[in-house]
Amino acid sequence: MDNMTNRTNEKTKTMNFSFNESSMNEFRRWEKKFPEDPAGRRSLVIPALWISQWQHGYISRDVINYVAEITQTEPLHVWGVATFYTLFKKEKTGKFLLQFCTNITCSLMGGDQVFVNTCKKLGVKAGETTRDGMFTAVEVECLGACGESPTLQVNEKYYTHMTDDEVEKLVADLRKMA
Amino acid sequence: MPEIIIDDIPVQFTGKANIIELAKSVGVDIPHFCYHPALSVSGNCRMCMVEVGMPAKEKDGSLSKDENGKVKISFMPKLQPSCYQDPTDGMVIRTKTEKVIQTRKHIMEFLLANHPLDCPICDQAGECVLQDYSFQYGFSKSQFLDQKRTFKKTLFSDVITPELNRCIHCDRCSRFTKEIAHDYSFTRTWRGNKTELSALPGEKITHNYQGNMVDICPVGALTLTDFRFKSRVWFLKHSEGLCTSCGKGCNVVYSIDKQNKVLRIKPRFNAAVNSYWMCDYGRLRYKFFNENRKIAHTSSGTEIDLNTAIEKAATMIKSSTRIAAIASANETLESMQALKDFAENILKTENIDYRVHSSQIENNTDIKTGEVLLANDPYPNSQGAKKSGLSGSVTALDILKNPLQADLLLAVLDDKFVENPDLMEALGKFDKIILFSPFVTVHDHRAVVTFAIPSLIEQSGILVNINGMEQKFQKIITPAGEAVLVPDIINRLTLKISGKMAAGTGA
Amino acid sequence: MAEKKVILDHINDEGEQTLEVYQGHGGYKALEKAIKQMTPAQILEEVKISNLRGRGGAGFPAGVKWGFIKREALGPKYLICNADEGEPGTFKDRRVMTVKPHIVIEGIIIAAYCMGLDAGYIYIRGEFFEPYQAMDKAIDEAYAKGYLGKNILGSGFNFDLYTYLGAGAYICGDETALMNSLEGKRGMPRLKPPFPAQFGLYGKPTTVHNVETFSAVPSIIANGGKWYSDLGTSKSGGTKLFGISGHVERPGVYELNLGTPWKEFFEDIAGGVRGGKKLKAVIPGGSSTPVLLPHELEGMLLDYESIASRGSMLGTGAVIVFDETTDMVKVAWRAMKFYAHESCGQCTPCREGCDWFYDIFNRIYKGEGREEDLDKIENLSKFIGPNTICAFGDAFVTPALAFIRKFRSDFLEYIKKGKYGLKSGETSHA
Repeated sequence: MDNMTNRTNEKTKTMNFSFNESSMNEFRRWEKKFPEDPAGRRSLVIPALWISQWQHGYISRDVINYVAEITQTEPLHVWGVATFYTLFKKEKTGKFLLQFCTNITCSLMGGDQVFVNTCKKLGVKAGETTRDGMFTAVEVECLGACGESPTLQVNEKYYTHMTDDEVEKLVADLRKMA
Repeated sequence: MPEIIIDDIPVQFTGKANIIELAKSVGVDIPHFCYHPALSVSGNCRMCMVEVGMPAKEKDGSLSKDENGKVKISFMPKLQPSCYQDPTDGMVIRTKTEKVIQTRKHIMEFLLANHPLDCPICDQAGECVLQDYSFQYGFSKSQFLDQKRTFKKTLFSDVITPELNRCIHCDRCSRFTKEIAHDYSFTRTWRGNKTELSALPGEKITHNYQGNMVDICPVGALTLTDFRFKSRVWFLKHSEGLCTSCGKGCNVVYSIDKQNKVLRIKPRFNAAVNSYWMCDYGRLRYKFFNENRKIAHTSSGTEIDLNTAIEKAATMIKSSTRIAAIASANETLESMQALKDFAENILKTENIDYRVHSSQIENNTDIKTGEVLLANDPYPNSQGAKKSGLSGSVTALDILKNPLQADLLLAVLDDKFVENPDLMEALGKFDKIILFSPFVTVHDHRAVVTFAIPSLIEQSGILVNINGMEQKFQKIITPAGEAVLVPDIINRLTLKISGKMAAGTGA
Repeated sequence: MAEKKVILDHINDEGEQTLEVYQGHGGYKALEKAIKQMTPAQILEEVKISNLRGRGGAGFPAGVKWGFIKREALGPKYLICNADEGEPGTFKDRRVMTVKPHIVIEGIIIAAYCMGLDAGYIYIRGEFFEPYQAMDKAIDEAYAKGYLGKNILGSGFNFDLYTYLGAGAYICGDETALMNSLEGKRGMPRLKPPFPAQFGLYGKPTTVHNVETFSAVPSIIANGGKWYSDLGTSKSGGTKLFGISGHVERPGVYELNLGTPWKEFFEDIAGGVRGGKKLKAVIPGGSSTPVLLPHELEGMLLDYESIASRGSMLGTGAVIVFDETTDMVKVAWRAMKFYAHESCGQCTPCREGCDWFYDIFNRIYKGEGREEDLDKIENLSKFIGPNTICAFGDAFVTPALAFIRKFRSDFLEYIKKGKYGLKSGETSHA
């Protein structure tokens, strides 16, 4: 009759993610920025998610648990935050995330068409990753580089004045780099 | 005392007051979804927007007046959420102007844009705030032609059945989880129109207060799995009562169907006891009221009428010399008093006690660790039993451990006793037993007599909770079958044995 | 008139992002002057005289804002530099931070000294990784020079400055959403009051300004409030950064005195419409400001009042130019797609309204529009802006209305060619 016992499903925490040394150093640098109290600790949620993503490539469930632990917050809070912000990748992407701005100015300057054409050339739909795991192409909102539009952001780096040819060259270069 | 004027009605207030509540106190209903008096103010639904004005002032600080000498009121250009706007002395609130009415209509339209039209199959129908407001404040037709928002089905609770397509994002459930259940298992996730109230992917909410999330959900986004599709609420009778599943004595409403079966328990507001809430344990334990009920008195398992039962029991009592008795902390104060007198005057025994649970033995009146309302003491009236002098020199548990010391055991049983295999096993060690039970028991076949007695919702009386608070309650349904109240049985036994009426029954 | 480089001075010089070169051009002299020769009250007075108004879009007078902070209040007080530049069409702050980070820092320190603030955060949008690195590097240099940290320039004034990296949410440009984000929460705007000056970051008094606003401060201190004010008009002091993009001959970031004639900026400085085409429309201050038609631009000056008198806003100074070939229905559709993506989802009119608007514009653009759709937008609009928690409601409603009113015939043309056609006989060539 006591269905309470059935419901207390123990949260089994399997920790398959933790910061490596350089991530931990980066995290320590961020720790100094905020007050040494629970509110200041919580301010580390977004930086810790960034550092995790730089190390791990995306925000996995293990990352959620780890970030909650080091920031002394709850995993659900971290999940609520991670899903609010578009730059946190909730799923794995290709090695190079091609983020095409298609907002007003970039579209005026042909950016939307460059995006469509690139997808075609890579053989993927928006948001999909090439089979070799190299490229994921997505459409993003204004990148704040309208004066040099169309703009493409690859991982952290901006590439401006993008045309079909420019993107093709860039994709080839990135492939070589990898 | 500071005063505001709501739709021409002056309302005085003290301290930090809330305009929705002040309006309610003078009969002005300001519709709202996200506001809840026991939760932090979120101000997100925008349904409670009202016109807010203050007396206008001249440049020199004096009140500005019109040609008739009336103080001019200058209204803010935008409507303000009445849940969030603090009242200040002299403020004027208007809730019935065209601007307010049109705004409500459109807020309703926004909320309904993505809300499915599935009221006919929604369990919330009949007690749905959105449905009611739609009727009172909405348009009859929507301008929305586009695809409605849908969410992937998720199962985040064993207590709640979610239908998030119906969610209006008022965020009450998540605020309740954090602020009342002190749990961080349910919150807003994602963003914008895709905002989804959710637990961690793949995890379930585990706290013991999930039913309240269903109660405060103004729509059918969260429905109680246990009650799903059982009945339309308008076919049920809703009666006020007390929860009997622990010593807290939460005030509740029992919903009863036409066959006198309890189908649901919901909390009822009592600031001094349970506020608006109750635990899932108490909420979902009601089935014992309906099942395995004893509807006839028996002797050695054979049905007998009450007179024969009284006679058999009286004969046995008269021929016994070492009688022990187990009282139940699941009885009313009145019933306990009768039993106490009976033991003293007729049974002539001091071997009577009610304490079968460790919390009763230790007189533990605390709430369970990690709980908000659920007490350590599983009995609804242990404090009443204590007050009635039903604690003997040995505990009921000890009486039960020494079957050889009594040649007759009288025991008043209850749902908790019957569900406890250890206690039931101990009872089996007694040679001669007379039982008073609302439930059929495994010992009926060998009991001298088992009297059928009513459950706690089939009688009226008083329960004393762990905080010593006496709470009166009224009979909700007529007793099952031939069940008779414990005091009535005792009166008849007393008359039979002694020829006199029991004390205090005014014979 | 031509460009007036106050913030953008030396911006193309090699090494301007370093403290050394910046200082070589007179950098940090204003800070020295402020700390060594002026009292906080004198600084505040100069800022008031300067007529400097917030450059983030709303144009609130900076001197008034600084005056809200109670210097003597106990406990920490914070400064936030809003570098969450996300308003579509806007790209000025990214340029300043990348190429001239020290002017931002110098302005911040002067403001902090004036208001007696303890620590500051530069909230940089997550996409701006390069500006973030540039700011971090510059901050390190400033610490090394003693411009930040304890006992700045021997004044006894302590101030720490840190960068923060957002993670992709336009709404964090709202100052209260930004503070929630800085506190490690979902970036949802707060209900007001209380306002940041009383209850800001971590519940402490906080002043928030845009990158450009802080960048204007050193020149005000160096040259005096009056000098700065005289650069602009009587109501809008100083210079303003304009980022012009789209169908324009010379896109880029320009610094102009407020009150510069539109015609002069557009035709002489930015070179007019690209390829000699005719002008169709202009968005003057970022996608949230209503679009203007060529005739509305006649005689317009680039200042808060003149643009407002034409029913639009100076906003962030993000000018988007559309030539005669532009499909304005597509532009409106793309703008609405942006807002639907960026609503925080907190309050009803915005959460439901943005998506509904996008659905309507999307249907029209995809050929499934109905004639009554335009009226529907007009009708719903009245109940969104006034009833939302933050300014986001107005931010998508006002441009939406401008698009459908000013390009009604373009929209009707789409509807006419679409699945449902026109019923009322209203001609699409109105």
